[in-house]
Amino acid sequence: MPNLAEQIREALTMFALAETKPALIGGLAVVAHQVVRATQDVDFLLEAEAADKVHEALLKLGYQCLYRSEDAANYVRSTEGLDLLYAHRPLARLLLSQAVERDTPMGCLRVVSVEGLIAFKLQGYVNDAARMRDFDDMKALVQIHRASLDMVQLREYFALFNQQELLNELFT
Amino acid sequence: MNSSLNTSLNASFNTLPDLVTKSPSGLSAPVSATGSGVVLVREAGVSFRPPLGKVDPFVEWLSLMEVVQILCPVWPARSRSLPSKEWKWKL
Repeated sequence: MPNLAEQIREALTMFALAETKPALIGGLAVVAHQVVRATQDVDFLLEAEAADKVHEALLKLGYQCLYRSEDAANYVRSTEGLDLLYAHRPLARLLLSQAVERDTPMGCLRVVSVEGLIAFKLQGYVNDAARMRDFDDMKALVQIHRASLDMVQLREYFALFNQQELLNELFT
Repeated sequence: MNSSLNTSLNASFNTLPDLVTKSPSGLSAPVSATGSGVVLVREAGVSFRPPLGKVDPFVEWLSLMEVVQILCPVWPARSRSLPSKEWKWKL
């Protein structure tokens, strides 16, 4: 199994050299929001303008690019994976700008808000209903943060994907 | 096995956040859902939710992954579902 902590530290150094400040999304962001589960997913939300610079840097670190579009990119290096979502629409840019810095054993990490994280999980789940992990993560996040969630914001995200019923389901 | 690892093992197998008790040392100690204090196999694999603001979830995660590494040195091959052209990106 790869050393995930080392992989994240290396990625943070690379981002700093590329002069960009991405934010954690995906499984590790779920952990950051108090739902501790095993995950080897390293996912970051990155400003779209830094995509080329970070792409080159990742290739230099030995990653292979499996997929890249204007919205996302997936990289692998042996058994390690690293996924990027590019923030180029207003909502993602806002969520990136509002990400909160956290001191962690891997270094200083920015983490998207719990509402934003649920929105990204929703986007993944809506696009691929087989991604039950995304559903489970949304459910767990709602359960633990139920009292403090910004419901106006959440309703906006679920309406964007026409999934208002799913939001109700998550709260039952 | 260090105490952090022990905590992680307990945390991994005992999962209900409402069932957290105070140990004599004052530290929170999760207990079995049945209250028996016995680790139940059926509780394994469910996400642990530490009390909000009381522990660093990244420290708990690193401990958990340490345990995972011991139990499963070779992680199963990643099933990577890459986005297709049909994906709707709205964020």
